[in-house]
Amino acid sequence: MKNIRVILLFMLPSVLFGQNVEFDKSIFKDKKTEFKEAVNNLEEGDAFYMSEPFALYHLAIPFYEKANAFNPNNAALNLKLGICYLNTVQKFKSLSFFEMAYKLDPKVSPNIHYYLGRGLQLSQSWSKAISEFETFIKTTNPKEFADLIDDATKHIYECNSGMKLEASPVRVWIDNMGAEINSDGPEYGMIMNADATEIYFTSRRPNTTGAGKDLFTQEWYEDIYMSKRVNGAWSPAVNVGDPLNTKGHDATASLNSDASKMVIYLDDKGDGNLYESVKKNGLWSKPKKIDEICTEYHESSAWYSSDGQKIYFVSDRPSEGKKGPSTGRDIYVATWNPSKKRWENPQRLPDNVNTKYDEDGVFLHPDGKTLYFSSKGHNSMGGYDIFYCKLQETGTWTNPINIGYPINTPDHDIFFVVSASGKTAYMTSFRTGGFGEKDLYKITFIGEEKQPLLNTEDALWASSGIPVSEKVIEPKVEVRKSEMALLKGTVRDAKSNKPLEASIELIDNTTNTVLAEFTSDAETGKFLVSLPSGKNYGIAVKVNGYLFHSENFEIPKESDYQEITKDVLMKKLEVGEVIVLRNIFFDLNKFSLRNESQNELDRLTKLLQDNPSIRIQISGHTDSRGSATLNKELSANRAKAVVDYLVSKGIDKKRLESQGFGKEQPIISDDSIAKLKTEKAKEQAHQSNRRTEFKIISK
Amino acid sequence: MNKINYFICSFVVCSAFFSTAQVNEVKVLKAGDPVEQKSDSTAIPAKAQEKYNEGIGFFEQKKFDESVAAFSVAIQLAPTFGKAYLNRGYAYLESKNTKLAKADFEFATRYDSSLDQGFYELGILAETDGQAEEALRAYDKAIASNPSVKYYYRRAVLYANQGEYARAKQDLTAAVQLDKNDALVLNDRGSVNKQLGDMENAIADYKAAVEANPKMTMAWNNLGSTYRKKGDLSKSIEAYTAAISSDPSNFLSYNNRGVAKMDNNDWKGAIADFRKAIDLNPNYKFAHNNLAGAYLKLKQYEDAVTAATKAIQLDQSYGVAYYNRGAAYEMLREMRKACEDWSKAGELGVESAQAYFQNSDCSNQ
Repeated sequence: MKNIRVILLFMLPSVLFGQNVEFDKSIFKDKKTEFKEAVNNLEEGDAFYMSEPFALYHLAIPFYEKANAFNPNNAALNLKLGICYLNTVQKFKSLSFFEMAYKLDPKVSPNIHYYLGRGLQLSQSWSKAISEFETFIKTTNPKEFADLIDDATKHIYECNSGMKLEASPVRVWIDNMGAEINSDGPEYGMIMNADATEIYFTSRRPNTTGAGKDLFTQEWYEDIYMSKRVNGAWSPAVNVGDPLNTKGHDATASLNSDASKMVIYLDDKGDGNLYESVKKNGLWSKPKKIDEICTEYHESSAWYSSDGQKIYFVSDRPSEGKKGPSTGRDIYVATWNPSKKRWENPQRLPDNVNTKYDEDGVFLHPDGKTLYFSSKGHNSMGGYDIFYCKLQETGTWTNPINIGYPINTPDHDIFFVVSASGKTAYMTSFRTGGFGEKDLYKITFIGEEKQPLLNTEDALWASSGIPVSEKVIEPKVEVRKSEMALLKGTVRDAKSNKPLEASIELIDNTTNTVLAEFTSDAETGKFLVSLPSGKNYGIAVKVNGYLFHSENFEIPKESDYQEITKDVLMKKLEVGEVIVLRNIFFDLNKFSLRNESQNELDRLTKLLQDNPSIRIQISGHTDSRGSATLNKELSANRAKAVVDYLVSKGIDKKRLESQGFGKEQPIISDDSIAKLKTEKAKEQAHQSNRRTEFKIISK
Repeated sequence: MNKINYFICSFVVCSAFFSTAQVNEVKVLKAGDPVEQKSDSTAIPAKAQEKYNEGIGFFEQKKFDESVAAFSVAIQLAPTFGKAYLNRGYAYLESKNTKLAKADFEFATRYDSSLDQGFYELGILAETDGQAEEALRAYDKAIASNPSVKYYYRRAVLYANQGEYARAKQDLTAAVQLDKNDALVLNDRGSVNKQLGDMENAIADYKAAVEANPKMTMAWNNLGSTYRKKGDLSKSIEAYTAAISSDPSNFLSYNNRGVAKMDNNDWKGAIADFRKAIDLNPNYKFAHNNLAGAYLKLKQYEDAVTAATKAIQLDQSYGVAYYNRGAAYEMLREMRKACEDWSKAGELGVESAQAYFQNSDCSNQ
């Protein structure tokens, strides 16, 4: 860019022909004062335009605009204004200036066709843009402008992509998130919890912490803001304040599913690093640099996997741990080591995801499989475009797919986050009709155009003459599978109803492995856990001094998105308290314990070991179907199987009783089950009645 | 000439919409040939024949009770007098006494198995009673006795009603072989071919039908629908237009032509046809619904809502109209209403509406 500007200034004296009007006092003899002012503006603008270490185009524009208002027919000034706008959020304004510059003087710059191509690309005039880029490539000295020629070649590719993408747009509503969220300053980098009820984003506003401005850009320092969705409406955004916001730049990077952990991007004097803050008792901790993934290179965007076991992040470090200059921004993933409590083994995602161009704005959907990110490569239609790819069972990633137009535009499209249901998303964009600068937008996916269903009928049979309706042929509509469920609720004391900070274990019952551990919020008792499909999950909720609580969820592989609300009431370890052991499993009509019961049985063993004085009764229960005698026998055998397991683990037999109740003590009565509307609900009710319980009979 | 008469009754099937597509089949009381009667008289006493002819006379005067009485005397005198049973059966039919009519047709065919009319009438009565198998057996016998266009046609219709299109086609083909210019039979064979998915032969039959009777609106319409199903939209529109020319009050063909125009991306032309269908029959829900569909394509969503609402007012259980209105509401950003309509359409069996309900953010509405 610097080269271009130098060349441009070098050429200015030669722009003396055509309709071009130079800033020459001899031309403006009658407007000496105005001319002087215009030249001053021109010089002021040039100071920003040529500033080091980087040009401040947005600051040059007001001065150039004033000078241009005085003399709109100066080719060089029009070109500079075009270049300035090309480097701001208002890129679309550049084209008219480039066109004017070219009209006034076709030789205003050796790169004018390149600029015209850029402006035309931004206005989605794909064919014209390609033509300009091709003219540029043909007419430009390849040695002198090799980089720019490469860039023009890439833009041609982008225009071709844009043409195709625009021809088959994705059907979405794109709605500005409104005045509660957006301001006349820029908003960007929105992050959210899994059910999209709590959002954080970066903005530059006058109420930034410390009320300071960036010395170079003269813009307010970035701060983090927050809003909550209540009854479908967003609350007015508030500055989250200390300790997340400091007097410098503070920007959002990632939020985990239940909004208890946040990754923040701090510039660190150009180094660019990621910091983590944890919310405890409603308060965010002081952000701590994530040393394991930060390097002397630039780390920016990041996102936690829903189980907290991975962190995806963006770094411009040289690949494969080499030293040397940055090789562009790529996406990496690091793995959490729970025993060492640190991130380990950062790995660059493969080449079918990362390109030789920059990637940024990474977001892993709560389904744990779908990675959204922005890239300047692949089939971008210009700047960063948003792509997604899926993690397959083999551990490989599918080739990224451009999310499509009009979500993607020829300009930068970045920071795309998708709700757990997959039906809505949020992004940062600069669009006409916004509040000024970049705003946050909600995307609602409305799918393919809904084709009308029509009816015809014919009198096929002469004998009757009665019209026969032709069967309506419905379009084949696939139900979008989110392939996950969200489990959310609160943990409270069963008697006082006081919120509790509980440890929540997420267990894969098939493999008997603990997938992740979460904590409910101490202040509210709230928790939110993502459950990707294809597993049988055991949930164990534990609080010191309380009996554990267990739940079981089967989320089939091809299941629809569902939100499950479960308010857990924790019972203290007191005589008479009963707990259902939801993760103890038997085969149908058998009483041998299945392997999936291991974790639950071990929890029970530990409870008895930790409380050596308690005596318990294990009871078996069946549903109401089948023979009462057989049910009673089966339930007694099942209870005994649990007792036998505990004894085998060293628990004194005298502390254990077992009893089978058959179908005598249902949780849900047959009458209530009969009133349930669906077979699925009825089956679930029967399933609730089939259970193993334990009861404290003495302490 | 001795007048031994046969009743040949008539049945007229009128199409509600196709005045030119009437099936006129005349069943008249026919005088017998004296020579023929003579040969019959070897077994029939003269007095019985006299009473028989008297019965015919009463029948012609529409004095059905007297006719029954005269035939009854004839039967008393000659208990195996098949034609007397047959004609008394017809007299009972005129008196709406189907039970006795049926009994007489059974006696008639028992005593004289050449009386194909008796078998035929037994088939008709069995069909009326919903006894399809019994009717088929009767038609089989009628055809065996006298393989006529009428009997083949009747059996074919019964097969078609049972969804046995291959058998229906066989009978209609047999009927065509007897009469190549029977437009009604050709039309119905076209419909059978269409139901069998044999569009080429369906088109050939419908074309033959309109050639035999260029005013046969029904066949023109069916030809249009077959061309539409085949994707030949210009020929489809042409055939519907011929149906409309043949009967300008034919709102079915306007509606169908509108759909063909929709398939041809001629939304405005479709709207004109749907409106015309509605002018001809304001309570025709299909045209209102299709009009909504055309407005959807033209992105006139408010108009689509109005038209679909009218269709729903005409039939509260019209799932497709709920589906279309939901689609219009969605584009008007009235998601709550869109979700309600898709939910209702889903309940009414429109599967794609269920899918749209699930795919949209309906749970948050």
